[in-house]
Amino acid sequence: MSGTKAWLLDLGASNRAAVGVRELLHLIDAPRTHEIPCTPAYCRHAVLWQDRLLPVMDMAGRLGGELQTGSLLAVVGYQQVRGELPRFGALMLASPPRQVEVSNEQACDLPEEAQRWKSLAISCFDYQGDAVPVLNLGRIFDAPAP
Amino acid sequence: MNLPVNGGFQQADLRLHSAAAVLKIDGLDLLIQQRDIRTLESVSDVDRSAPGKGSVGWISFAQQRWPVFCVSSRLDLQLEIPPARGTCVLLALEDGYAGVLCDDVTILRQVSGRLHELPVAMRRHDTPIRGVVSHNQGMACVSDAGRLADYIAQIAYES
Repeated sequence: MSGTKAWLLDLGASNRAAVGVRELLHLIDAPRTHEIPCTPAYCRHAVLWQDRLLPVMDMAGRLGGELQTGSLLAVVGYQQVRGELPRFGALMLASPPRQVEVSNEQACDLPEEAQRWKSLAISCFDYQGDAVPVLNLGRIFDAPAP
Repeated sequence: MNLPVNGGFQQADLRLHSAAAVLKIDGLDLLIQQRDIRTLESVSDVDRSAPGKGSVGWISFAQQRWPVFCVSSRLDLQLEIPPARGTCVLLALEDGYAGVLCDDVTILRQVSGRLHELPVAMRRHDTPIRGVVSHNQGMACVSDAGRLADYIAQIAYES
């Protein structure tokens, strides 16, 4: 079975997830972010990137953990529908991402204790004994704030 | 999804047909049209006796008194007035006025630039923020008197 490449992301507070190799577009170290009032605690800041205003998503905070203060952002791009113009967002990272090779044999179910990921992941794979959710970027960035 | 066009602001490109004001509230720069502001008063003119729910006092204008609210840079209500809040901005509303305290106010004769919509993930249903625009080497949040007053009235009611 042929493999595919993915980026393994350290989202902080022991949360790891992955995105497709083409979804991660840019890393920004020590970005200048802007706090915007009346926004969810896990997405309180925005960053200007290529003249676009991107939401900065703290996934660890969104999953109910402590809010992160990391200074490394991953700019990601995604499409809700094939052929449409790409959309963009930024994920807060605790450490630089790592590229890994993933094969279909590594596909697994979300473990019981990871059900909080259910609405935010499109699939999951086993990596060195850990279940790693693959982020559903459309759901993460295009769902209206509660 | 487009934000509605109103109050003289146009979508995508921000063109101001009248002057704008930037209300500084701690680290927040809040941009509203100058026509949304009826008057500027000193915080010392605020009558702090028997404030209404969620407010810090009253300001007199046009033979009536109007509630004055103090908010943080996150637009949370503050019942104690921080020392930096020196100015009371009297917002002109459809059915009266409301005061909001800020640190200072800058009047801009002309503003142009791109109005960035608030990303969907950041857009709470009750947000008074329409978007952001580059300002003074940073970003200013764009709102208007109606949205701001509705938001403050709601959180004051819930407080």
